[in-house]
Amino acid sequence: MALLTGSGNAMPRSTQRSDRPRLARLRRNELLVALAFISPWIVGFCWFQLYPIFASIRYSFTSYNMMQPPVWIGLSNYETLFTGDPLFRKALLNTAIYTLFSVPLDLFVAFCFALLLNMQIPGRAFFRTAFYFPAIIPSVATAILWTMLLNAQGGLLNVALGYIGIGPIAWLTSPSWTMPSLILLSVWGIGPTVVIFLAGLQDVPRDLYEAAQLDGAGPLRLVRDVTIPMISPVILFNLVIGMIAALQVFAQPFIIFGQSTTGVGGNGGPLNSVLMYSVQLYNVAFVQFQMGYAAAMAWILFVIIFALSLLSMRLLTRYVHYE
Amino acid sequence: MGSTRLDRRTFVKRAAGSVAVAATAPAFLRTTSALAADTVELEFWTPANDPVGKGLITKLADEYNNNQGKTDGIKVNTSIKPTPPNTNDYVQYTTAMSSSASPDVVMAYTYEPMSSWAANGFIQPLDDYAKAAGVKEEDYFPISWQMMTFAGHTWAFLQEFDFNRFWWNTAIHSGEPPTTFDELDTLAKQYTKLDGGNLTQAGVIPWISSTLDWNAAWGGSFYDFEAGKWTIDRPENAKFLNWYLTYVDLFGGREKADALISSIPASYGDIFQYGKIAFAMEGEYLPVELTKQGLELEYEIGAIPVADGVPAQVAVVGGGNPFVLPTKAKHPEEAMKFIQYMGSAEAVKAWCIEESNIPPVHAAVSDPAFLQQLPHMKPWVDALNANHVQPPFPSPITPYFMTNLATAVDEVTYKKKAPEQALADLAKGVADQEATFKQSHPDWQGE
Repeated sequence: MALLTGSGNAMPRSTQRSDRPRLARLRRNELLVALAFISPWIVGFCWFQLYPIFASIRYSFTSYNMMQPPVWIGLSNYETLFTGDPLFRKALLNTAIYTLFSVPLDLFVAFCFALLLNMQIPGRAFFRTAFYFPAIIPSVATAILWTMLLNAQGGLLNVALGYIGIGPIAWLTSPSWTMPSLILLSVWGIGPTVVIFLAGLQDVPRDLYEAAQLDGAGPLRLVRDVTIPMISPVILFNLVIGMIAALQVFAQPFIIFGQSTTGVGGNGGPLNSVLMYSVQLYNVAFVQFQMGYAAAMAWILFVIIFALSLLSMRLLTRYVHYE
Repeated sequence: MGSTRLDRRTFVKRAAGSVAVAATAPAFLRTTSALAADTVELEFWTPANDPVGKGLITKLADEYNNNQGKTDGIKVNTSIKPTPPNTNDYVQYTTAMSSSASPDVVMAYTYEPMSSWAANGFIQPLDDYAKAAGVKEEDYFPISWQMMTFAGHTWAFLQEFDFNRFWWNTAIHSGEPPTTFDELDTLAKQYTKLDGGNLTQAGVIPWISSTLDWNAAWGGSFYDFEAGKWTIDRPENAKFLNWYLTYVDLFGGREKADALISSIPASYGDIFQYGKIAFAMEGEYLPVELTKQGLELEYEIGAIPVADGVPAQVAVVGGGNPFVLPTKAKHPEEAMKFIQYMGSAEAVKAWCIEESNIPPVHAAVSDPAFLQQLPHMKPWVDALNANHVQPPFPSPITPYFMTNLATAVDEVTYKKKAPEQALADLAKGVADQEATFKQSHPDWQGE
């Protein structure tokens, strides 16, 4: 096979054989230079991400409190989690319920907002900014704001409901209403989801809508039979990302329910009704100093998220239309 | 191409050399600056980010730096590290204390983590330092000495400690205070008001706070200090929970009381401070808080009502401000000098008078200026002199217990479990945690 020069002409045979070691050296040098340039990232990734990942796997099989060296205890942490820790089961259940309801709700609301924002209306740019704005407010500020909005006596939501004869509802202090209030709060941060849906909507070819309209399709048929199938990859993406985020929710439940209404301990709300998995993991790690146990919890969460993501991709792919 | 390869190689070499120089420069500078100075610099962490506390701590540290610190050859660098909102979690502190960048002195705004910090090795005993400094047990109130010394060692110097007394809103109740639970219940029913199904005023909502106080007032105890064991499911401990249930029924459900509790707008403060209940257990710091919040409340203070056979001045310590020495402190001896200074009678008096707290040392309380400036502290001084104040639990499982005690109270007051069942479940949880702890901490001398 002839080797080519930079101008695309073939090299003479005598040149090709004698140049092979030089070209190999050249390529090796180029590789080394490239590695040198990306080495800061590689070092950072290995030290701050890869090493902690492998370390946490190891810690999950130990008893470790950060001060004394870890002591190997085998599968004891995992056994205790599944057989002897009621708070683990409660946290897992709460997180599952939260995910089951908040993800579809957020997807539905975000999709509706995206449809509206895709319309040619005056001030569209303003509305797009306004709908995204809540997503960039810090979590702590959001949590404190919603604590005031959901106040049972005098909170804006109960005042508004009072005008139509509903309530007052103890959003943050009744075990029956704490989970719904947290699910409601999740809608506040749908800005990024709306943006992604909007991008997908703008990619739908106009001629499909025109063809459907010629066939007599109304607005709802257009959405059901044209829009949704065409943006199905976006829906799947948002579903998987939303599910991963919901399973790891931490900031709002931690801040809003930081102390129980009895004023003593507890960040799981009344009756631990909103004790989330990440919050319980935090309690185990940083309040009880059981790092090994917390590492085991973290890996169980990883397996759950991985399995659910894989399941979603496998089962739902048949409903996704790729162009 | 040859010249390009050469330039690239040269560039990479020069870049690598520059990075190496930049990385070693700070170490070189530190070395030269350390060699030049004799003063030891201490890193002091405190969560005091409230306006009064921050000013006081900074002032005390500056006074030390300008006076005794010069003699000791020590300079204290104060870092304000507040705890996360709505929590008493010292995550940043324990993470730092477990690293090579540990502060030299740590002050906490709560006593709760002390026993688990000690048991897990985050802090080191102060026995040798305290002995060398001539610290004597008789200088301290028995209760404060018990807080500083447990599991066979001295672990902290206290700046102050807290326990609650029984307060009543004189705008609602102007007569003599109740001294028994029968008297309290009679008055509380009288002062409870429901309007359109909503609770608008209550005589008392006992589960707001001070669960340990109410339990003690009913003759219960969650911990046997002499035996060093938890006694969570003893029958006496169910009495206060059954008493709580009478108020759940009076209000028409726990949710009613919670709605009233959540009706106040402030992020700090409770409904007693806002005048919505007649009786409450509150701390000695309340007058300062009322002034800070701009709230006007007419009140009197006395001893908690008690059941038959229970001492009149019973109380349970709720918290305190300890100064501790992290295990990985770089300058432990120098740090101990600063800790001693902050725990001295003069320093604690300065703090306690400003913040309206209880000093741990006799010298500060017996100073006439103390009660002259804080006349409302007399009920606390009376309780200290009566010596029926119980210390916090010296068990590393205490944080787990306190969190799950709140859950147990919720389970009872929401009528999900009977008091005996809730306590039994709590006892089992604590026992499981203890077993896990003992497995990994066989050398811990304490409970």
